[in-house]
Amino acid sequence: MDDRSAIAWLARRVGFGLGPGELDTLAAVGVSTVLDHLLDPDGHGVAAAPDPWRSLDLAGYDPQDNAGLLRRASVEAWLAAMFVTPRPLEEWMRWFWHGHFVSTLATVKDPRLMVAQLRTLGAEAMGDFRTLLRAVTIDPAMLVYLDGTDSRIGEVNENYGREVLELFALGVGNYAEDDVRAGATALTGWHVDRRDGTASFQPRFHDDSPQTYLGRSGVHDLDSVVDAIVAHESCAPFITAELSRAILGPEVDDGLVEDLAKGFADSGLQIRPLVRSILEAGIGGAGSTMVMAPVTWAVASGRAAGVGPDDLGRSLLVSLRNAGQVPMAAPNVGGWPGGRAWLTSSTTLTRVDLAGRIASKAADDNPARQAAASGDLAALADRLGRPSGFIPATADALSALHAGGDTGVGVLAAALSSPDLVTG
Amino acid sequence: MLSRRKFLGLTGGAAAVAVGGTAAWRAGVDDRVHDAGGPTTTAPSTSTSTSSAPAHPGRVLVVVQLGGGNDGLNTLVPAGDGRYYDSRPNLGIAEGDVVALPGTSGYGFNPALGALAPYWAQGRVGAIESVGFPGQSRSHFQASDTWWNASLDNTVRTGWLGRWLDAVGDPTDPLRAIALGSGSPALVGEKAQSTVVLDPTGFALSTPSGVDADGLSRAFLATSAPLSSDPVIAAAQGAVPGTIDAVAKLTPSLTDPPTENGPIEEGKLTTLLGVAGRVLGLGLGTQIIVVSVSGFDTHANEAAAHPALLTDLATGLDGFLRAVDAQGRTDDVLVMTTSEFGRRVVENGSGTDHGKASMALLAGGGVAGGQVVGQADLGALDEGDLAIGIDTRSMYAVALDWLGGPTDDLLGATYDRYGLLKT
Repeated sequence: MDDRSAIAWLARRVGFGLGPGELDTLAAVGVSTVLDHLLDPDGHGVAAAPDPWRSLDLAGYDPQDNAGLLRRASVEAWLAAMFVTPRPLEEWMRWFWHGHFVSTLATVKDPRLMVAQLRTLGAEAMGDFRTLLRAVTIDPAMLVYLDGTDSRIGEVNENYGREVLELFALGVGNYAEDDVRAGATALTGWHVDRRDGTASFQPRFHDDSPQTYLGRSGVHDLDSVVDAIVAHESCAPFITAELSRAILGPEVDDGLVEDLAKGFADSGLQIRPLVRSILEAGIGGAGSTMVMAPVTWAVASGRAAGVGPDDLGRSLLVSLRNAGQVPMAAPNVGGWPGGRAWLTSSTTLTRVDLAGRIASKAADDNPARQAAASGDLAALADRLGRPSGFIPATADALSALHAGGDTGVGVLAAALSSPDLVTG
Repeated sequence: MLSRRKFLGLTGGAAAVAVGGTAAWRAGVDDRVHDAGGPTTTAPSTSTSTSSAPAHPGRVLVVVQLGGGNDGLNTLVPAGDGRYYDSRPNLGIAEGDVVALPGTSGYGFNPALGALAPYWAQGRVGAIESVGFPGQSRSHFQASDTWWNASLDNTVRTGWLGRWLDAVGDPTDPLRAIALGSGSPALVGEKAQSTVVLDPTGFALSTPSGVDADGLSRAFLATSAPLSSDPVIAAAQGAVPGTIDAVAKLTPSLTDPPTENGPIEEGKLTTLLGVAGRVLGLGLGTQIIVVSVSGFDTHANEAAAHPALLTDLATGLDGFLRAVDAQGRTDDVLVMTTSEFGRRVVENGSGTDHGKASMALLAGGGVAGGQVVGQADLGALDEGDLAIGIDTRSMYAVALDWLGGPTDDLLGATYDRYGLLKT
């Protein structure tokens, strides 16, 4: 992959696309430097990313009054941050973990809890996996979403105990039903105060009896549960496979994942070096074409056209709902299905609809809009982050539209929703 | 500003040509697009390579998926069994509160299902008790896969309904099977296309003002061919014609989008089953509709949450059955509920954890209703769960019989139908 293609690939896979002129700027510094800046922004003087929810009055949350408004504002604030973040990889990693350690506003209801969880996921996104898993396990939103807050001695709720093993850390088949029960028992006693949204440990509701858990004896509390999970032989391979598939595509080579997992385990489950290894493999050609998820596609499309969330207003969120992917609203604890699920009639239709809205908002001097207006398809593809150009079907379709007298809006809309841009 | 207008003046003919031309992309694509790794295997029984015409082209199957694992014991309550009340001190539905189901061995409906009582009395609604897939998991995702694929083999990538679509009729007609509320893996076939409507209020297109809408839709359709050699791009191309077809034909059955809905509304059964009734009224030849909702994973707060879910189910079914009656299609439509598992018999305090067997409802003019087939044996639990007495595939056999089969070929064996359909 040449530098230009590699940078465009990084922007698609572990970012939220590129703004006007950005591909030129980044290509001038080279992919190696771009990668360093993405992975270690602190060490390279990259501006700090402002907290996406800094302007929201979350402290003023009142379930009887402004709950719906604050929930929606919390989602929109995050989407807006994706458009402008100076640290796209960090934001993308938060997005990845959000799809992995799922909680939803529909169940949690209190936006303070969801925002606090997302802040935690952001803070720990590229650090130490044990720290991340421990934080998630007693995160207030997670305690509500998977019912830890209702689990107490004599009334053990298995929900989190099961999903932490199946979906969050080890994968199905790598634990027994007895482990589900044992882990849930050792995690009893954590409680969320719904008034202030904090979690606390309440010893009188905790079952401290020693459990045999994942082959270890004496497991009885939060730390011993988390220790047993991260020490399990399936943890590093499972997390590595999840992250590798998200970045490189679902058909990633098993041998590559094994090698990456070994490195991850040897590092003591340090996430940042794992991400670097995966990205280097991708730049080296280890990835395959993927279907873009609606959120990353929508943000990337808006950015390329120079159209922001304020220009789109409510239609951005409505479109994402119709396409099946609203942040903080995964369909279930397994997260968004991805792949083929993003090629259904609903999602396809919604992308066409939103592409039209985006194209109609693009300023006349936006480079992509200009290329669309002049019918320069090579320039248009490049400015939409596809430096290798369109497939013949798309090129022919866009040429015909241009030849029919389109002003550029139609060509830009058709390009944004074309099979080329929907994948990448 | 944008003007709302119907996408496309393209004729069905133009779209149909492109649909036919895209059949080829599927074969090579599924491996790359599907999430799971591992080899593709064929269905448990390989479907016939050439499609046959459906034996009952006017018949319709509606599957209502209660995602999360419905608590069968609090849906169809074994009110005559003291062990039920021993296991459910907080959550048990009092014998005096259940909707009695005469002629059964002490069963009653959760009072939230009261709207179904008249249909039960008319013999148009029946129930299957202790249904499940032998060997199924307590994992949502494994159990769901098992149910959708009708197989414990997690490398099977086609669904039980997708295999029927492949075998019978035109598998490339995307309107023969419609999923409402979410996509349905049960509809995935080797060739079968289907239409997914996530949110009926949002299934419409605007085009920017000042743009030639027909030109834009023609361009969009033109991006579907010739197919790219990259199978994932080809899959995205393949999605285009069916979408165009679906929008043009389905939009009349869907309501206009409200703009004030919050972003986190889930599809509700009453809404989705209302759409299902209107879709049938369009006469598009739709034979399968899968309606999916979630929320049945009642680990906590079940006393409030579960009745609300069941009320939605009963209200939705009542409205749907009325719509079917009004269309004069009472005897054409079979409704069946599915859910990946039942829940633990002993409550956990405020809810119930994952279990095994559950119950299912059947509804329609052809159902031998007013009876419970199978029983909840609370004296012979399997790891604390209701043991599986009736194989899920018996229920599927009834559904496939309804559609005209070939049932036993598609299921790979003969399963007892338990007399669930009128003869």
